[in-house]
This record gives sequence, C-alpha cells and structure tokens, in this order.
Amino acid sequence: MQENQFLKLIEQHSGILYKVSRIYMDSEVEQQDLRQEIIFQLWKSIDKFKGDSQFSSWMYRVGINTSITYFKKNKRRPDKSELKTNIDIQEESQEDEKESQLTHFYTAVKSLNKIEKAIILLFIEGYSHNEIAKQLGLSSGNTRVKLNRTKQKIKELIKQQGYEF
Amino acid sequence: MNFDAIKKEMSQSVEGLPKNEFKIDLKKGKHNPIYRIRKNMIEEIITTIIAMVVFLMFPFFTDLKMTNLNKSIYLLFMSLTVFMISFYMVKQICFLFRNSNLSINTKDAIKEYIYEVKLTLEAYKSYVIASSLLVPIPSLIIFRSLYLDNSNSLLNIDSTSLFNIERWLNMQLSTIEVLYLVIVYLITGAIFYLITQLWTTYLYGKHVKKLEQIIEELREEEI
Repeated sequence: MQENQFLKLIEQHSGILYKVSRIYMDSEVEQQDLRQEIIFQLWKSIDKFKGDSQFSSWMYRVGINTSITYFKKNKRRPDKSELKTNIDIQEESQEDEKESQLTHFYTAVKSLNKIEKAIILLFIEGYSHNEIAKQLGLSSGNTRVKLNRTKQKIKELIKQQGYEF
Repeated sequence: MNFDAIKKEMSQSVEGLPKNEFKIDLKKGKHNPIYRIRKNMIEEIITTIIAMVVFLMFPFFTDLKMTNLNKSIYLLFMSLTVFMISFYMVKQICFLFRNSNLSINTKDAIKEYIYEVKLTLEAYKSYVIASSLLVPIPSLIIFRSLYLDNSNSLLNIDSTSLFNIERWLNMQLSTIEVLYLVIVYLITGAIFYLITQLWTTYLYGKHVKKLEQIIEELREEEI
C-alpha cells in the first residue's frame, strides 16, 4: 500500500486514534505522541491486514496493543495525578451537562488498568462480548466477568467524584 | 449509568478534530519496551564488534613483549571467543530483524513477545558465560606482557610462577595448582554469571516485568 493511500485510510478512521489516545493518556501532548506511535505501528503492520475483518476492527486491535505496550519514561507521581483530578472536577462546573458526563467518565477511566480500559472502550464502541474476547484473546465468559466488574468500578469511581448519571 | 450516551458524546467529541496532523514518523516507537530492548541490543552488538576487533588486533598494534608461543595462544583463544560470540550475535541480529506482530490479539501478541525476549536473553547469557571461560587466558597473556614491558612492576613472574602459561601447556602444574586454577575459573564464571544476570535485569528485565504484569491482568477471573 502506498503511503498516501494509507494516510487517507487513517484520516477516514481518525476518530479511533483520538478515542484510544484519550482513554490511555492524560495530557494532549502525550495523546498526540501516542497517536503517532499507533500510526507508526499501523504502517509497520499494514501488510498483515488481509481484509478478513473490518479495517476499523483491525485498527482498534493495533491501537490497543500499541497503547498497552506503550510505557512513558517518567511516570506521573500519584500526588500530581490527584491534583489534576481535582482541577478537572472544578472545571466541569462551567461545562454543560453532556460534556460534564464525559469529563467524569474519562477521569474515572484513568484509574483503570490497561486491560480494563481496552474492554470498556470496545464495549462503548458497540463490540459484543465475543468480539471483545477475540480482540483481547480472552474467553467470552471471562470477558463478560471483566466487563461487568469494570462497569461497576467506573460507576463507583464516578460516585466518588460526587457525581451520578 | 447510560453508556450509550457516553458513546454518543465520545463520538461527537472527536468530530471536527484535525485530520491533517497524521504522518508516518519512522522515529516513533521509543516508548515501547520492544523498541527499547532492541535499541539496547543494537548498541551492545556494535560495542561487542568494536571490542572484538580491538582485542583481536591488540598484540599487533602495540609494543608488547610477547613470545611467539604466547601470541599464538592469545590468537587461538581470542579467535575461539570471537567465533563463539559471533554465533550468538547472528542469533541476536535475526531476532532484531523479526517484526513484532501487534495485529494479532493482545494476549498472544504480548505472550509471543515475552517468549522471544526471554529466549534471546537466555542465549545472550549463555554466550557471555561461555566466552568468560575463554577470556581469562588471553587476558593473562596481556597482563604478563604488560608486566614484562614494565621493569618497575612489583610483581614477579618467573619460570615457576603460576602465571607462566608455558607451564600450563607443558603440564608442569602440581595438583594443588590445578585445583587452584579450577577454583579461580569457577569463581570467574560465577562472577560473570552474576554480572550478566544483573546487567540483563537492569537493561531488559524491567520491561519484561511490565509486560508480564499485563498478562496477569488478562488472567481468567472467578465468576
């Protein structure tokens, strides 16, 4: 595949890049860095895409695997992370209801581990238990258990922020 | 909690975001343990190649007083070491050129990668330890030559000294001296093993641990 053809395909599915990077990274700079990293891995793996599945599913798989194996050099200290959460909550009061929901959701998601993030992202994108299981290499039963626990965890985390929806 | 609403909001939030920022940056991959391990290995291979050339040529480009016999022994042992290291190095280079497959499912992709890394590290450790048992002899020859070249040295290596390699070759060592040499060799091997173990853990072990942690997170849960 030619480079320009590939980039056109990426542009068509750019939403996936933004969603994956926002789920896995905090700051805009880190998110942008992760997006470039995913594009790099997609470009390296493009020959392996045989068209057996939808391009978007394949892109999600590479995107999630890249994010899972992506390690920042300096980890944010817990106290710093706590501070950012508080700022987010203060900022939300000025946002409309919908945006506020999303902000609370992303704040809660940040506390999840990398696999839980992948599960909730794929679930929100409308993937079935079996499809999520196939993407991550889990059994369908295990996926159902993990998904229910992750959803419960998010609800509790949002509650802890003093919010409910 | 309405996840459908979240999905709608999420999709709306990415609408209208710039699409022209996308480009293929071949310098990317730096935050990936796969990249880091490979980068470290490439650096080590380059350093080893330079070290091998320097050590192999050492007696010819210095004014060391070295007998022909010592020179031959030095070259023989160094050639064996270089041959052994080269064999494992080819294996490492093959590993470096193998692309990690991130387009398969997450569990398999990470498991496959961990397996490849561990296999390579074991091969790496074996060759360091194996070559460490050959290196002491050429090192001893250089040490001797340096001493002979230095009349101010306080060390005395005469014909009856254990450092005299000719005695080793002529089987002129007593049982105690042979025992002493075997112990020194075993200690040297053990020290090299420990250093290699610590070195590989420092360079690569932490990344492997992070990936193993992810496999742990994928483990089946009790219902």
